[in-house]
Amino acid sequence: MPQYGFLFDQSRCTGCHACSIACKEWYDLPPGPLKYMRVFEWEKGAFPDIKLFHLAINCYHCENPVCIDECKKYVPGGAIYKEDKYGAVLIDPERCNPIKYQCKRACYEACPYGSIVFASDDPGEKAQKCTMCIDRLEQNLAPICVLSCSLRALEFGPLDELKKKFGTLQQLEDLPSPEQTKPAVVFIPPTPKRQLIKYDAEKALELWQQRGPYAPPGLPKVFERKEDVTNPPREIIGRNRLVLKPKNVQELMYYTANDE
Amino acid sequence: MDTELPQEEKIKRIEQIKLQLMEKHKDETVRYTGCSINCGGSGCILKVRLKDGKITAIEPDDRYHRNVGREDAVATDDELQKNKLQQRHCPFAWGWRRHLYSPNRVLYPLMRAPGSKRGEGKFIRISWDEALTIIAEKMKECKEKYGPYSIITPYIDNPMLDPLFGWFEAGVQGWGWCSQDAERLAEHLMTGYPGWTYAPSFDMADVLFNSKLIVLWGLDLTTTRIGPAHQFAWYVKMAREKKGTPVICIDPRFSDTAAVLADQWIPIKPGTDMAMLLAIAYIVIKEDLYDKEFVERFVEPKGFKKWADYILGVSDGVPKTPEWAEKICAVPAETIRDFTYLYAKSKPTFLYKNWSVARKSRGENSARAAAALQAIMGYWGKGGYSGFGPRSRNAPYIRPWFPMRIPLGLMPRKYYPPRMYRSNKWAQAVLLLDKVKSGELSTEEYRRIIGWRADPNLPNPNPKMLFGGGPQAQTVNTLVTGTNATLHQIEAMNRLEMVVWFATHMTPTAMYADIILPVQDQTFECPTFANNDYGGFSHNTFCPGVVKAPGEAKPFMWIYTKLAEKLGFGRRYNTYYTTDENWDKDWLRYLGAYYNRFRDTMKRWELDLPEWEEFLKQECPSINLDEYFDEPCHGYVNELELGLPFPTKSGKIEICSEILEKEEERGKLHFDARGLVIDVLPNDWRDLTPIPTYQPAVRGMEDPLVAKYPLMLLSSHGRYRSHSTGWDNPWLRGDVYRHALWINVADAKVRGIKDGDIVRVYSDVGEVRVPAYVTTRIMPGVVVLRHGAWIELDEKGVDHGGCPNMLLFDDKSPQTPAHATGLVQVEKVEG
Repeated sequence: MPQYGFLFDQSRCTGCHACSIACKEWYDLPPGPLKYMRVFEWEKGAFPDIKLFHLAINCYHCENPVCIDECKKYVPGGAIYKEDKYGAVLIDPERCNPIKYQCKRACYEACPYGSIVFASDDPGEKAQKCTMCIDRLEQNLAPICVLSCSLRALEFGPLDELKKKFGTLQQLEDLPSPEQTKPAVVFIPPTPKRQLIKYDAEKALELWQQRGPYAPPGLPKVFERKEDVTNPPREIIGRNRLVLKPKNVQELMYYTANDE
Repeated sequence: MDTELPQEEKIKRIEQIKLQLMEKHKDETVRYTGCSINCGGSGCILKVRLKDGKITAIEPDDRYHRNVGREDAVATDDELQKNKLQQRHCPFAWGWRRHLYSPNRVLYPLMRAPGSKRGEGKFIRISWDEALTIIAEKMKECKEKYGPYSIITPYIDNPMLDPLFGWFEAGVQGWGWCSQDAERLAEHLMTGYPGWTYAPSFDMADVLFNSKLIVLWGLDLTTTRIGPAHQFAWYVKMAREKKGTPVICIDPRFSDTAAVLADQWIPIKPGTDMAMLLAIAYIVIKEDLYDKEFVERFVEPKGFKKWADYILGVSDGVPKTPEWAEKICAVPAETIRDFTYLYAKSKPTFLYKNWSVARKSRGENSARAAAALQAIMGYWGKGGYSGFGPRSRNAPYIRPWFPMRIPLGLMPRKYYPPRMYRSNKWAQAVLLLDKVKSGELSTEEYRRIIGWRADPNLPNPNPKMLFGGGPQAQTVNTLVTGTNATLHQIEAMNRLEMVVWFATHMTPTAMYADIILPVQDQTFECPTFANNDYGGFSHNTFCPGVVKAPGEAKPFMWIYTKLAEKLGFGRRYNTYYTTDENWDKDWLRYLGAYYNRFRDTMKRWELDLPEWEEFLKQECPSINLDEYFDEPCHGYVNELELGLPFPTKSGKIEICSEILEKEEERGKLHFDARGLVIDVLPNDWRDLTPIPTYQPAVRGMEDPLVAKYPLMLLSSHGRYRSHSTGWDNPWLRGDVYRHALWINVADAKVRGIKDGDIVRVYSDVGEVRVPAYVTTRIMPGVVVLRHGAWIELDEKGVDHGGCPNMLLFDDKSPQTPAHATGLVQVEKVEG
């Protein structure tokens, strides 16, 4: 069976959300949590080794789609299918019925990537997700997200070809293991930093703390405690981790928005 | 349960799903247009899908590499150099449709409801004829009662108004385009080229193929105008990835650029960049690492010596050593040294000092110093250098919103609206008059503060009417974007008898108007051109006007033409105009004339561009100039390659300004060696020094004011607005971004602030309330509140929208750059 998939290049993604808005534009989705393409940004580390991660993540149309298995446990015959031409995993909006089948979002719970989204926290909401732009594929058009990226961080094509061109990496830092679901995606990891010139961070922080020689004496220091900079209280920092599977709409919106 | 659906049934269901999805975009037609939002780069090509006269979707450009996501995996070097690439647009432009069809559109001419106050937002609909009559009558009344200097414009001079005021023989404008005025001044003083010319060009291919080191100084090119849509970031990424070009980012923020594009991040205290630039210059001069031959041939020697003497400490006893600089800028001396050696051996280095670096008090210095440093290194004109900023091919642009370039009508000769104030100081020009009248302020000091740049013999203005809005998006929301205290601007508006505003959307600024005139959107609703200007490549794309404008919205130029008609000189103002019914045809004739002028210029370059009629027949009418050249472009070809003199007095690059050296020049209007007015130099330049020096910034990190306001505020641009346009788009704000105050985790901790807490941010001129973005991504002592947030004032005058303009004010510095920084304090809002 053919399996098409995506390339996501984390060394290029700047977290700009063009892909997620492009998706909303094509499918005319309302503002809010119906984000078939979610863009996460999270930070780790501390000065001088701050780490910033970006992840644009859609449904990876897994070769072993656990969402389908879970769905079938509640819905006779299932409301999610894996189609044969591209290997797309598609939700059937006519058969998805959380009230009737009392499935409690079993598909969402099963997906390690949290790729299924709902219009609200109402338990009656139908599951929705990335369609692989199958309507575009049928008209010989590539998925809209792939064409939207200014840094050209995304690509789409037969998974084996993508693997040949871009390598076989299927897991990034903080992301789940690909073993269980066999996602149709390959990744390129962030480019490692190179220290080109010497930088004594301790001395820099010392200098930063002082107001400067042109300032009149007696002014307050720029900041009080160096430890707060180098060993900061993580709990007060925004988006200090990747939360792929938020608990509710509010959390989803928080973790899939940046601060410009 | 776990049952299988019969195969046949499953196939049927899948077909059904596909059909349902395909239903959405059935029977659509497709047209191309250029994005003409004023992001500074712009001109991205949009593929517009239409049905029943409405836009149903926007897709990105697909003229090249159709259906390819990762274009550089297939693009040849030739295509990368000739820009035969998709002009993919930015996140803002992905939201265009929501923006265009916003319920916030202004559909009809509006008049403030009788009895209501300015800012209350109560309006009644009036006809175009009524609106234009009211405005014309008021203009006549003002001119008669208060004299010719009683009608003024806000933030940024409006080129459409110059001939209108000219024929009317009344009206005053400010000067300054804000964005890169410090660089424009530097370019004019140092090279003799007015700062809107394209002599210092480079293109992105030049950087990709020729730069040996890329230094992004204060530039977050993944977010600002030359960001995602304009390939700049992508080209830097390709240079690093494919050519191994090292990339250094110097910025107080650990920006997305620092995180994604740079090999190494060097934080620097904002407003102190000048100290590091001088220390670099110190090393290269002291250790003979600069290009002596280049300096001898192209740099005016006395000015170079003066600068070198200052740098070495000969003239002031203070050598600008790395040890001197580190105490100011907080970049360790050892790092500055290491940086300098890498910089000096990487020939050439693409050192791009962003405009933002100079958008501070005395930012004129860093703009001049960065260019001077690149000059003495001999990097000017070499592949991959940068002088004053990115400007692609040294070619003209088709810009119908600058009708002065190709006159739309006859040019008045008797009256030219004087530039009586730095445009962002328009409110001070109004408010300080009280003090002048009471004798508290001398006329000289008044003019110094407002940045007078006009005949010194003219009387002070007598403002009674404000003519606001137009010709582009950033100019229509002055209270938000005007780089000057919002509350001062409101106060100034309230002193005036009439405020007229042009608007596509009901902005907070339009709310303060007496008359609002609805304008058409320039990307989709009326024919114009979009250009890629600062993006590093050069193209002119026709925007045909793909949908009808809503309500009674009209093109900018129609409004000015009809107003001119009311004032009695319509035919002189617009010689193309015949009748209202023929407006579209007449306007196209004008665009054709503009195009033909461009085509004639290109003929001189031996380029044969299609005729106007042929051009219009193209599926996507667009001229990609880079296609015609086999080499990337470099700056100053005439001087550096062909040996012609620079149009300065000495014929060379002048690091020292002769004008600024002469005290007797103070107070006069200033002209360059060719007799052109230096349009970004106020008559009185205050304490601006003849050579670029380090001067501590007013409201910078060393200002005594930090005792009260200890945090330095930067109002950087974000990626989801072009200035303020797009703020009200629900696909953007609240959906993909939160508008919040960036604050370092250490600064947050001592204030008891955690991420998401609402904080009050205040200076001596205003207060805003916004959520805090607590992060390690900005250095302590510095906060960022992104430019362009719409004000939402409560009854106490506190802004809940989070607009940095509420907090900005500087009446002490030289006036060339509009200062986008200031000092603030931040507190948690309890409860």
